[in-house]
Amino acid sequence: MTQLSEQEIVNGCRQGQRVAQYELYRRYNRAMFGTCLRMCGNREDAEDVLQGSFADVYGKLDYFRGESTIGAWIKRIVINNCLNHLKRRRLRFTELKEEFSPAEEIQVIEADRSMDVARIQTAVKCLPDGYRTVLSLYLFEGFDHAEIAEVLNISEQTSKSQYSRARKRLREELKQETF
Amino acid sequence: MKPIQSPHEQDPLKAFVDANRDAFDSEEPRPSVWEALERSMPSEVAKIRSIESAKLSPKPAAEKEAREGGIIRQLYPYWRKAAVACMLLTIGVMGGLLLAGDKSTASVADQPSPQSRAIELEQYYQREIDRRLAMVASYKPEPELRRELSDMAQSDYRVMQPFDEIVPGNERVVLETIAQEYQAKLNALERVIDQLRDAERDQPKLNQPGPRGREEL
Repeated sequence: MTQLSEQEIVNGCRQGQRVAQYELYRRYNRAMFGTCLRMCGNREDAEDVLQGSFADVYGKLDYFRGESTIGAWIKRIVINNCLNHLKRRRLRFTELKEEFSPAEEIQVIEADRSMDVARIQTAVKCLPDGYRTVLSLYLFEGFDHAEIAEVLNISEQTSKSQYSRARKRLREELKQETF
Repeated sequence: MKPIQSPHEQDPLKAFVDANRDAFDSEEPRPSVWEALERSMPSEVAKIRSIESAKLSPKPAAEKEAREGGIIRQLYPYWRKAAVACMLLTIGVMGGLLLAGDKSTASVADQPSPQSRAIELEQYYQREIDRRLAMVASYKPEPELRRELSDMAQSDYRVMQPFDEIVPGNERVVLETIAQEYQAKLNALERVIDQLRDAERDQPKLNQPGPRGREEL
């Protein structure tokens, strides 16, 4: 079977071709669902946001200019929709007074040598919205703290402190888990 | 002096995630997500469960649906191109006739007058504009938008009057100017129709229940 190129898929989607729409979904649904799941914290909300995001993608493809990859463009829509979803859930960030201490964090994480994908995934889902959002954007989506501050409308310091707290909490969750 | 470390070197968790990035995206959404998406989109060629089966063995039902409904949507881009080509052809033919009229040895009485060509041009474009206004109306836009578009479409200079006043020999330039003016109106209407189409396409999505009764996004 001939593999459709990204450009062929994009063009097909623009023309409303269901085959192309399905192919775009097939290629990206898993990665985008991973983002939704980490950001939203539960499968039901993640699926809702994923569905809405792909509907947005199909509706807005005429605005895709090819300045980034289609995957990066979709990811941006997915993250925006996740953030909107969380804002509706009244996502709050608390400005922490204490200074962000990278040295302390190194100790915290190095103390836990049993890092494991499944355990981390489960623990991330247990984090409060604010922690989980910052941690997901930083750890998994490649945002730096300046970018996180911008998209969440918080200070860079708050982003760092939320991330610091999130990691501490993550470690506590990992300790509590029993397998 | 301590060596400068990159943030990842300082952050074992980040390094671990980066090294196992794909494994963190192992979960998949339920099939109901795609099914709900499909329902929220305009009916197309067929409900394709997999691109492989669709490409290798198109189902009779899919072909039937393509013939009955999806074909119009599939042909839409070509229809637009065809419409533009038609307009360009008409303008070209009219321009050609005018030029030929200048140079031809045929009797002037055999050629349509510039006034009648202008009227033809106006009628052609007016039909196209009316057609697009009807398309706009089919989307049931706000009355104010509809009124404004109608006013824009009606704001025609009367082509007969300029022709009475222009210097002989400049008819072609005037015809081209008229065509450009009409084309600008058609383009504006096309943009409005595109926006209305997008808005309508988004509308069902907002109310479309998702796997768990999706909220407005």
